[in-house]
Amino acid sequence: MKIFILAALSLGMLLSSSCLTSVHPLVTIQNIIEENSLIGTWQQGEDTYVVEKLTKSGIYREMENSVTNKDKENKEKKPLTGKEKEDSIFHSHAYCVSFSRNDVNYYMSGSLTRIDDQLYMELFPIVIDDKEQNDGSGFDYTFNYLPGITIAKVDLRNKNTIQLQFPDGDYIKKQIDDGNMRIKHEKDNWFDTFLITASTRDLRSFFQKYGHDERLFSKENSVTLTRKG
Amino acid sequence: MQKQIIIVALIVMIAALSGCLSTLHPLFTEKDLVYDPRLVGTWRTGDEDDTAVIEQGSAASFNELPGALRNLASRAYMVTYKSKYKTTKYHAFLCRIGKEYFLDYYPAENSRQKTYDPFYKAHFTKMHSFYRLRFRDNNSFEIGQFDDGYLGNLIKQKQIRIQHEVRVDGSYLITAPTEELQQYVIKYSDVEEAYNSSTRHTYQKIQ
Repeated sequence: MKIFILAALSLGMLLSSSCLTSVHPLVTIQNIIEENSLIGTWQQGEDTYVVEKLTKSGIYREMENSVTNKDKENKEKKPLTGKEKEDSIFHSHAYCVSFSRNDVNYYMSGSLTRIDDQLYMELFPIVIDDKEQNDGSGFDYTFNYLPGITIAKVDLRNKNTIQLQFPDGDYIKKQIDDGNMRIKHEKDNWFDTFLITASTRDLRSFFQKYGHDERLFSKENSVTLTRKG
Repeated sequence: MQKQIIIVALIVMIAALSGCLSTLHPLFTEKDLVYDPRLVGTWRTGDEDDTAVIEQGSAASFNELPGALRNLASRAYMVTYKSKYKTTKYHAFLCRIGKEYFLDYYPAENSRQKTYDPFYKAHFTKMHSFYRLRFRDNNSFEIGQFDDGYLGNLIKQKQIRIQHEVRVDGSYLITAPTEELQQYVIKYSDVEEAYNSSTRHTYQKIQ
């Protein structure tokens, strides 16, 4: 899992206000790549993030075991086909990013892709492990919430330092409103909802066009992570 | 952790199988909103241990919503569902569309969820779900939630044109604006197959 080490609290505070989420992914089975130099433990301030291969992570193994118990009862090992096979291949190239805050563990999947000369990572939420919520409630996959992805440009400074640059959502929204930028989206001013609905192809075209635009990827939306240990 | 993961996986499966229709945009506009005090109270929802507490909305209970919606709080409701395993809260908006009443549910965070990491939470977009509501008397009403499988079949068979996205997993994200959603509920409000049978209940007032 490419590290998506988010700058802890500062990242959370920054991105919660200007975060852009997309319903469609930037990364697909056709364009996913690996960058295993991201595996490890990373730090930003007092926060620690662990990046590991998704299929080797404890959370992935637990979820696999909980879902496939019925298959085990059938004692039949069927080869994967279709969507299951594609998902399996995709997961084998993806990473798990985990971090803890206030005794709550957060798990996200991260996957990497290149667009021209730039490396991008997308993050997707997996699960919250909150011991105080024994009923499993939280921002899990109920129909009340639509999980989406966020995207960051990844700058591998050296083997011990990474910079993540997230697009400035407020800037993009203003450019869209002013007619200076076009990307398919849904907006509800009443409930303050904003969701990018551009297809994967159009998302990639968007970042191909604006990937070097410093107004999109401002320093204010950047996070630098340092390898721990 | 093992129990947590299992429960999460079950929730994923249940959510996938339950077929409850959710939409990006609301079902109502301000002019459609109605307030009926008969809804306020504590209700038995069908299962023995499950209850719903419906309260009139207030500035405090609506404080996580944008300003325009906070101003409408007294014309809306706060609904708290309690079961053996979980408590879930919704902001609820009663509206009259055509000849029927509908409740638009919009999730509210419980106190624990409010403490969760904001970056993680930012990955989730809250969705609207709506129910047809029919009062039986002052102490009971029937409620039925629209089924996304029914709408999905209409889309697949090209029997309806409604704005949507097809997600990576093949499921539909309904992005139709309010006007299109209202046309849908008007057309299909009397079609029983359009409702999810597992969420059709009669609420009985407890107090």
